[in-house]
Order: sequence, then C-alpha cells, then structure tokens
Amino acid sequence: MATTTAYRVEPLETYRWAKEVRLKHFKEVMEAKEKGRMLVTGNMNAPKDLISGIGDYVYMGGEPWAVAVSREGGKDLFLPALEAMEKQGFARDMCAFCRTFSGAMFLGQTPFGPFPKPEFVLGMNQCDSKGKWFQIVADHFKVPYYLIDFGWPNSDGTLKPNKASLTYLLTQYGEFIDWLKKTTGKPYDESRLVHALSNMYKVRCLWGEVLQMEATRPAPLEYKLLLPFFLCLEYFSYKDEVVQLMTALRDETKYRVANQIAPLPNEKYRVLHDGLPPWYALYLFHFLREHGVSVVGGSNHTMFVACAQKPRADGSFNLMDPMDWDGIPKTFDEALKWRANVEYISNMFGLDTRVRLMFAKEAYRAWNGNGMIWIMDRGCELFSMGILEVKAALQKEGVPCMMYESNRCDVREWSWSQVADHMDAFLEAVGVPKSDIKRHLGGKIGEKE
Amino acid sequence: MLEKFEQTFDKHHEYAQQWKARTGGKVLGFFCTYVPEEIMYAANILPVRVVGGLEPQDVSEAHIAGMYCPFCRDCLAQGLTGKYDYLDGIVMSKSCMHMMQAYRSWEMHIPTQFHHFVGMPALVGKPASADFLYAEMVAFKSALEKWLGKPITDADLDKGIDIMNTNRRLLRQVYEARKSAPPKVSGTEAAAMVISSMLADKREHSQWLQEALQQLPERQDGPKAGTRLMVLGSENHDLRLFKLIESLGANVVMEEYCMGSRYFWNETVPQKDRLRAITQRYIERPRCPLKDVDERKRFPHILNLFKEWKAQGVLLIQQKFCDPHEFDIPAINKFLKENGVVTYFMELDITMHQGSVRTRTEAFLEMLELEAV
Ligand code: SF4
Ligand code: SF4
Repeated sequence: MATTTAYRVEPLETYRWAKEVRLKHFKEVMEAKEKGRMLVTGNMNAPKDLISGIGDYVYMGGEPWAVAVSREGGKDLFLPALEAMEKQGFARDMCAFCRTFSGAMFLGQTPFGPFPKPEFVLGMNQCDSKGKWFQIVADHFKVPYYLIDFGWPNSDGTLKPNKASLTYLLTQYGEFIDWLKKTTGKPYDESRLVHALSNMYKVRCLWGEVLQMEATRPAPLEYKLLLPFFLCLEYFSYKDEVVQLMTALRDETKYRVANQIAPLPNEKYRVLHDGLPPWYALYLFHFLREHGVSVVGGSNHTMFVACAQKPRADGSFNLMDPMDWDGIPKTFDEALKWRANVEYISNMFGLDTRVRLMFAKEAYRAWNGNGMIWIMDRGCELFSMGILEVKAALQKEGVPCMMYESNRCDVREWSWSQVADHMDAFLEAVGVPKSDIKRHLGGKIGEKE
Repeated sequence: MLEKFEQTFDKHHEYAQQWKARTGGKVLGFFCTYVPEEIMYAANILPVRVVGGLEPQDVSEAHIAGMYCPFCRDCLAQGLTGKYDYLDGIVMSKSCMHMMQAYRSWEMHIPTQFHHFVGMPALVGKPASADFLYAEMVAFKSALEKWLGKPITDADLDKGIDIMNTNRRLLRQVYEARKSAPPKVSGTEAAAMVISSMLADKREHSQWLQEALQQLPERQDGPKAGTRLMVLGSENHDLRLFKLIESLGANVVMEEYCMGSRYFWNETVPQKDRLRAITQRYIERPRCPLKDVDERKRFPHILNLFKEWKAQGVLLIQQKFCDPHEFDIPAINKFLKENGVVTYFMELDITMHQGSVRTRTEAFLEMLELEAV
C-alpha cells in the first residue's frame, strides 16, 4: 500500500560516470578514422563483442546514435533526418530508430560531426526492422554486411531453451568469426573473446543485483537514473570500464539501501514503466517524481534481469534469483554457449506474448508495484507487440494500468498535453490526490534532462 | 469452369465445413505461406489459409495496436467473431511481427485443440539456416503425430509432397497461359485460382485446374488485350482490386507476392529424407522481403518475371503499415527504374475508397501510354 515517509535524497555519484561513458563513446566513433581504428556499425544487440578477438575496434550502434540525433541533434538535425528518409520513399510509420539513424546517414551528418563510413556492418536479425535497416546502411556505404539471425523458434511459452535455436546461433557465431578473419585479414585471439564475454557475464551479475535492490522501500534508484547504465549494459558490457562502473553502481546502491537514500523524498507510490521512453521528453519522469511516484522498473528491468538470470530447467524463473557468479565462462566454447543462451532469453521476452506476460506479472509482484505504465511506441512494432494483451491481463487482476501513445524517436508524434491528461487519470486510479498535479515540467520538444 | 475458383473463395468457410463433414478430417488454419502444407496433407489434414473478411471491423482494437497492418487485424477479427470456429487448430511460421501478433492473440483467446509455431529462419542462404529449419520441421511433424496419435510415415510424406507439387505445377501452367497477348486468363481469374488453392483441398483444386487448362486453348470469352501490368508488394486477396484495374483496360499478367506466384513457384524436389526435401523447398522458394535480408535475391527474380511475362509497367501495392514491404519498396522502385521499368506506387487499406484506386490506376495507365509513344 502507499506510504509516506521522508527519506534522505542524494544524487547518484555513478550516474555521472555512466553518462561520461556514453559521451566518450560518441567521441571515439567520431575519431575512429583519424586514429586508424576499425569502425563497425549495426544494431545495438548485434554480437559486436565477437569482434574483440581480432583486436581494437569501435562499434557504432544504430539505436544510441538515433537517440543522439533526436536529443543532441535538436530540431536542426532530427527533422531533416526524418524528412530525408521520407524523400527516399520510406514510410513514416516504419521503425523510428531506423528512420532517424538512416536519415542522418543520408544527410551525412551526426550531432557531433560528419556521419562516418563504417568498414562493415554487423546486424542481429530480431525484429522485422533490424535486418532490413542495416541492409539500407550497407547498401548506402557499399560495405560488406554480415547478419546473424535469431530464428524465432517454436517455444512452449516458457524460457525452456530450444536446442535447435541455440545450435543455430552458435553455428552463426562460428561462421561470423571465420568471415571476420577472412574479411579483415587479422588473426583471431580466442582469449580476448573469453575476456570480453566474461566481462559481459560479470556486468549482468552486477546488474541483476542492482535491480533486485530496487524492490526495497524506498527504492534506492529510479528508472530514469538507470537509463545510462542500461545503455552500458546493452552496448558496452564487454568492456573493462563497464565492469568497474557496474561494480561501483552495485556498491553505491547497497550503500543507499543501508542508509535509506532515495531519489525522491517521499516515495508514496511505485510504478513500472514498460518500453523504452521517449528520449527527448524524459521530463515525464520528473512529472511522476513530483507526485511522489517512484518508477522502480520497467521493461528494462524485466527484460534485462532476464539476461542476468539463469532460468530453471523447466523454463520457469524467479526474478529474485540472481545469476550465479561461479558460472563465469572460462573457455571459448563456454563463452559462446553462454552468449547464445543470453541471446535466446532476451529475445524470447519480446517475441512471445506469453513470456512477456509472465515477466510483467512477476516483475509487478517482485517490485511491489502500485501500477503499471506502458508506452505504445508507434515507431517500434517489437516493443509494442503483445502489450495490449499484457495490459488487459494485468487489468483483469486489478492492477491500475495506463498506456500512452507516442514514438520514442519521432518527435512529431509526441504530445505532452495528451500524455499528461492520461497520466492525470492514471495517477488518480493509483491514489495520487488530484491537487498534486503539476504540469510545468514538460513542454519543449527536444528538452534535455 | 473458371468461376469455380472465385465461388470457392467467396464461400471458403462453407467449403471447409462441408469438407470436414464429408471426410471426417481435421482442418488447420495457417497464417503464413512458409507453413509446410506438405506435412499437413501427409497427416490427412486440410490446411486453410486464414484470410480477412475485407470489411471494416473493430474487434481487433483491444488486441492489436493501431500501427499494425489492416490485414493482420482483419484476420484476427475473423477468428474473434467466430468465422473460423470450425478450425481444429492453427499453425504459424515466423513471418512479420504483425501476423505474429494476430497468431498470438488468436492462441490466447480462441480455444483450439492444436497450435504450433514453425521457426522459419530469416536468413535462408546459409547451411545453418537449413539445419535449423529442418529441426523445426521435425518438431512440427512430431507435434502433429502426438496430437493425432499416429505416426506420419515416409509414404504419407510422399503423398503430401505429391499433392502440393501437382497443384504447384498446374498453377505454373495457368501462369504460362498469361504470357500471350491477350492473356488466356485474366489477373482476377489467376488470383482467384491461387487464393482458392490455399483454401480448398488441393486434390480437388488440381482437378478443377486440369479442367480449366483443357478449356483454355478454345476459350472465346477471355480477356481483351490491354496494357500489361505486373503487380507486386504486400499481400492482397481483394479480387475487387484486380477487377477494377482490369475494367480500366489493363491486363494484370503477373504478380509477385505471397497470395500470387511466390506461393507456388517452386516444387519440393524429392530426397531420401523427406523432411530435408521439404525444408529445401522452403529455403529456396522466392523470398518474401523479410527473408531477403542479405543479398537481395528478390530483385532479379522480379525483373525476370517482368521481362518474361512482357509486362509494360509495375504497380507497387503496399498494405498500409506493412513494414516488410515498406522497407523493400523504395529499393525495388529504384532498381526497377534503373532497369527501365515504369512503376507506380499505391497504398492499400481494406477500407480504401474504390474511387481513389480508379483515379490512380487511370493515371498510371495514361503514364504508360505516354511512355509507349
Ligand atoms: S526493436 Fe523496435 S526500435 Fe528496435 S530496430 Fe526493431 S522495430 Fe526498430
Ligand atoms: S501485409 Fe505486410 S505487415 Fe501485414 S501481414 Fe502481410 S506482410 Fe505482414
């Protein structure tokens, strides 16, 4: 039930570090050419860590760069980028990450300088857009394209692994490594890969620990604070620096729990937010915070805790079961096998509505939610797949639910007044007194945090 | 004879129900043409493709988001309103996320005895993909055996392969008859033949095709010569569209989409391991945009069809919100233009106004006439 207590509020020290990692990455991409480093592009969840066996490289992930175009780029870049895609004949309802990134590519511009040409493109085919998106990129730059396919196996609605699918992934990893050696002419050092993947493993263990602490009251962190870490988890977790960052985050979170330090002084209610946010309008989380609502988790939690877990042999799981630190992969084969498992679990979360529902229910229970919010992202079919079903099922169980329509990258589809109206009604259902409503936070398109 | 196909399409629910009563067999609905019908025929099952009712509906709203295509929403609506209550189960293979959502919602809300998902790889050009698909074929066959309580033997699979291949071969012959000027079969008739083949028992359908093929050489009431069009893009099973286009003096002589040539173009080539043979057929069939993710094999195939059927222009049709085709159409358009082909883009929606199709088609036909001058 909702409670009111005044907690100590302190900024999260490691937050700044996580943001620095992001900014440093943008710089690295821009400087890759002049420093003679190999630049590869592709989608964020492509197995870019496999490249580590040949040595130094910089990976430019489509999604974070699309977000950079829509946030850092401002109106002068994201609108022309979206229009550039339309000029090429691409429809306005296609994946907004793809349109923003590819539009900037057609313009030859990023928020930080000219759009760099990659040496090759590496994709992971998961939703309908990823494989096709990077086909456009590879065609544009006329560079080789290597795509790895998830395969969408038949499943029984649990996380029981599908052997054929795991073999499919593993075989493709092996073929990619061979292709990489041939294409770059460089030798492949397996121990480098083992190191990269054991980093990835450690980061997931640490992430799992952090998220599990979010169940305490007051929650030591909130969704918005977790976003730059989530980026590091998905994008750079093979790097040593990210292991250090996540270790610091875990330790700082422990400290906050022990001392009842919270991001908001009066956590009265807690909700989960499913789906990635509209990056250009993160003030909506300030809006919730001002109402004493702590957004303790969301799909980033349910999805990425899944990657930081070991489901049981029967396909069931408990979100509070952390990953086993003893399982750190030590050999090349172990590392690849573990990677295929993670790929499998994280994909099944989004691809099978039954699994998605199971996760949502379990997350709501485990994090003691008072309500659940979804973004119906018009620019992403994958994240929106099944959410109407999940919402209806939770509503049936008496969970206060709210869904707002938007587009996390195409700013033209954002209407704060409409979303705020929706939020008002939802907050009332959660129990937040109406008089608390404040709207002064939002408003300007592209406004940064 | 040719009316038989359109009539079957119009009354496909009645057809399937009568088939069931007549044979005592089971009927499975499938949502994507990558579902291996061979294995269902081997098990004496009638596979019927789930299609929409082509009318505006609102029952899908609560299940499928507004930015999903009207086709997948229409298909689910048919299930939710009980039109497919006679189905004993449903089968899906990995297609687009839109159709996947229709399948998942169906699975959750419409009780059936059997449901199965065949994991179809997107990358079809690699040996690893064939191995993965083969494992999925084995799993599908076992699931059917478990459900039916009896094994599916090699002889059964041979029967299934033969039923499918015969029908495919006959449809190819019909398509050959569209090469002449004027074509012996109109685009509307050909579309009715292909769509009805997804809905009727293929053994019966093949007999109808044979009869139709015998009558074709003597045919007097065939289409009049007109501007030869090729249609490609998203799925379309609305015969009204073809009727309207052809009523304006065009001959639709070829299509490349999953309700047309792509469905039946290649056969299963026998191998000792029948499931391997079936797997290979689905790996090698003309690709849908989602399976054409690496080297773009679709494009040369489209151009070959265009040339062989001596089309004069290409109508690119795209179902509203259809992502797979939204990704491919700009690149196809560019490719065709570079190869001297005149194209015209048209967005479709089941609630689409006929008047606007008429105006746009007329504009395209005029454009082609000017090109010819
Ligand atoms: S998951 Fe969504 S946003 Fe990401 S590539 Fe796929 S469609 Fe685009
Ligand atoms: S029309 Fe397009 S999006 Fe809709 S079901 Fe067909 S391929 Fe999928």
